[in-house]
Amino acid sequence: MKIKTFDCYSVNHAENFTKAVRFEKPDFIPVNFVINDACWHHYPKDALWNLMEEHKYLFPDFVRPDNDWMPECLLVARKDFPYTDPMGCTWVTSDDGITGTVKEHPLADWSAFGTSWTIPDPEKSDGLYMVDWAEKEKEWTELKKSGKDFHAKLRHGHTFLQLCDLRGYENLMFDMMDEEPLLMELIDKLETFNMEIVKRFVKSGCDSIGYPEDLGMQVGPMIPPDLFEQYIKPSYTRLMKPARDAGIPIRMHSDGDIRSLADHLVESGVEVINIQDLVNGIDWIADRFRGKTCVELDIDRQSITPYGTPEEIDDLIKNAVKKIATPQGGLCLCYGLYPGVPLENAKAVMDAMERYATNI
Amino acid sequence: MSILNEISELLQKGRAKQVQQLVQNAIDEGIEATLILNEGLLGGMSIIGEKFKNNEVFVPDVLMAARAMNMGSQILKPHLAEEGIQSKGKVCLGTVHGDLHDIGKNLVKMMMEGKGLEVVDLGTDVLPEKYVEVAIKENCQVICCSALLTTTMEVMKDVVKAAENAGIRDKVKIMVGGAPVTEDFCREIGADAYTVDAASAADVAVELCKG
Repeated sequence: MKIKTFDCYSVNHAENFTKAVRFEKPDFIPVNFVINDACWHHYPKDALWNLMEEHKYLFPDFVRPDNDWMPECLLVARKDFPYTDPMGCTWVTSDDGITGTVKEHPLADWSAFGTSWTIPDPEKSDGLYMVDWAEKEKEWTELKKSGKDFHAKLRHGHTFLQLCDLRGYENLMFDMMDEEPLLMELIDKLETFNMEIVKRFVKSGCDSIGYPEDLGMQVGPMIPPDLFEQYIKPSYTRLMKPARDAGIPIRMHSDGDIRSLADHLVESGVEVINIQDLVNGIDWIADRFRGKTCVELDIDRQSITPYGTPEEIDDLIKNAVKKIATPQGGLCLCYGLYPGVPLENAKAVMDAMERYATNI
Repeated sequence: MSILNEISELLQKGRAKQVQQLVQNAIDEGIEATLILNEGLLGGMSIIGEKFKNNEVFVPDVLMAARAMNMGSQILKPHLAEEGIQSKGKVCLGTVHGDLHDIGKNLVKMMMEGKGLEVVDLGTDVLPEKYVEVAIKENCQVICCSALLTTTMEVMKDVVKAAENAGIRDKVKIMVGGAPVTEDFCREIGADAYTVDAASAADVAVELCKG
């Protein structure tokens, strides 16, 4: 059985999603509730399944599996099994289901560049895993035939985070500051690699293309805006152009405080910005994007949903919808459940998402 | 502009090589190493720390400044030793067991070094007993625990317990921080201090080291 994943809208009506993105009066707010794989060994499975059954709007295809069911964690999220991806980055995690961090950076020393390290073949890999694209394309065709949405996306961390994973965050910052010539060469190679995948997505006729990264810290950006403009934005702009030319909605996710990068992202071509609510501030998000750029609001998972009351959670979501949504659209809601959130609060998030998504 | 001000200014801009050169020039001019350290390097880091607290500069700016300070410090080190300069205190820090994130922890380290503290970096995924063992061995006045995940922050409670069990709780202060950590949580587990950001952590650590 497949549990919903991040790129699969529970309310999966492509037409409605596009209406929300393009401010063409959607019938409801697109919503997406993701249960992280780690949850299945932190919570009683029955309790989560009960919640899924009670929330048909968020989990319309859910069928209760056998009791011994457990998710197959991604290779980058398996405790005690470090995974080296096709880029040569080694991922380590301490909890099954929680995406690991890269602990060995293959280009920590530039001497490996062009010698022991080369960019993988985009015909055989998506950068994070080896991929049989022919098989993938068949799956996409089947998905479309069945009338379901198909939201394609590059790997989480396709450009900026990929550079961090290859070089290490601090090294990357110093490279940018020192205008290291090899860095531009590396960015070019990454862009060429990513472009091959973007072209595949465009050809597939997908309903949107995601360009997920993480560009923000808890406060402030991970990369100064001037360096973003110099090193990353040109690549983003080129990578988003084929989607833009084909009229495919462009989605961009980033964790953290990205207020100082928002203008650059929109100028690059982003049409749907997946942004954390409280880290950036609901008022700021509303002020900057309401009625102009569609917001895919990533509902808080750091303060109110883990530590607040169900009433506070309801207020949080009601307030966000009130401040950001317009009758024309421009809002999607998403939430990622991770261990540490009381089950009654998880239920409160589900209740509020269903309540306010359909009440616009 | 005096050479010390210039060192401070360039450090804030992250110009590591220029800072290194100016520190050498200052030494050649016969300026005391302590003065170069306090007014040039630490002075610059202190301004960066304040700006960071006020959200005027961000993590990458601090990284660049810290690198500049480290490069300047390398030139100063032998001269400081000659002058018999001691650090303002000793801290051991690490990301708690089960948590592999290190950007925040590294930032705290840089800020603390920028305040003149000596820092023993235990890395990530640090067992509670390890903090205590190192604090005893290295004679640290403060233990700093970092966590990014709600599932791993609970380990901080075990660090407090491990310090109690080892009988050093009255000699060592315990600081906690990281995205999911709160003041309430700090109190709840019996730690001594929580700060919202790396610059404040450095300020508080300096105070705690004073005893």
